[in-house]
Amino acid sequence: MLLAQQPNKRFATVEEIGETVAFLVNDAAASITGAAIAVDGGWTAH
Amino acid sequence: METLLSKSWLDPERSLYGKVALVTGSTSGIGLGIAHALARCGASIMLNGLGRAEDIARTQQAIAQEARVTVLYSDADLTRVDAVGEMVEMTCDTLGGIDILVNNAGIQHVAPVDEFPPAKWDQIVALNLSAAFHPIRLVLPRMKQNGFGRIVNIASAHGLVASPFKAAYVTAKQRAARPDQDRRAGSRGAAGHLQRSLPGLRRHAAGREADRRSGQGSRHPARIRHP
Repeated sequence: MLLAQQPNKRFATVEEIGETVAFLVNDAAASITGAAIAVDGGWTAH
Repeated sequence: METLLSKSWLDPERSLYGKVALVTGSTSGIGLGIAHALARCGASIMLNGLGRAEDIARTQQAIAQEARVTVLYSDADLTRVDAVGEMVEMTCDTLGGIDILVNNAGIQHVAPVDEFPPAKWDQIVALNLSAAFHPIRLVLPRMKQNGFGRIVNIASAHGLVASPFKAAYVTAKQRAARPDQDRRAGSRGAAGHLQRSLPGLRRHAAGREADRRSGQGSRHPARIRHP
């Protein structure tokens, strides 16, 4: 019921959010700045 | 040619080796997950947040052993501006600077607007919004000086979409999710990044409690973990 509006049908984990942040602070993401990155399984886009 | 894969941000490269990361609200939940991830990349970590001293000591030890990095802890109350300043100073004194700032700390309270306790409103705005501004204000000059800096503000899906009974949280997060028009002007010339991440639905004890209190009429369940 709670996940009915979330396309991937599961809650994100703290590990997934941690790794997203690790990516953002690394040089690999050097051109990502001032961006809002949704880590929500598609919830806000749905 | 060097590809992204050859310099992965994941473990074996220890891509953040020698960097110092301050992560607020990192004694549990998302903040702790972020601290773990940055430590695995080789960054020294300053934890901050609530909890029992012995639990926090165990958390420090666990991250330090797993990632072979230095892990320290600040008990700063981020609703106090002077305490934020002390935390930043302490981090620089003990770990040698701040290269990465992750503003993650936050709290939630659910109540109809006309029953929302004013003190709770003030506390949420102070912690979920102002407590991100003060560390940024304090670390930016050092990041400019060093020519390196990364700032990530953890907002929420509620930074984009509201839900009932969370007037203070949604207000603070909507502002926190869109601060860069203000800040870009102030940080021009800095090498730092301003980035934000918007965690969505995640199972968490605080969220379950908020769910219980907000009742079943909530279209968007309170599984949005702060901050």
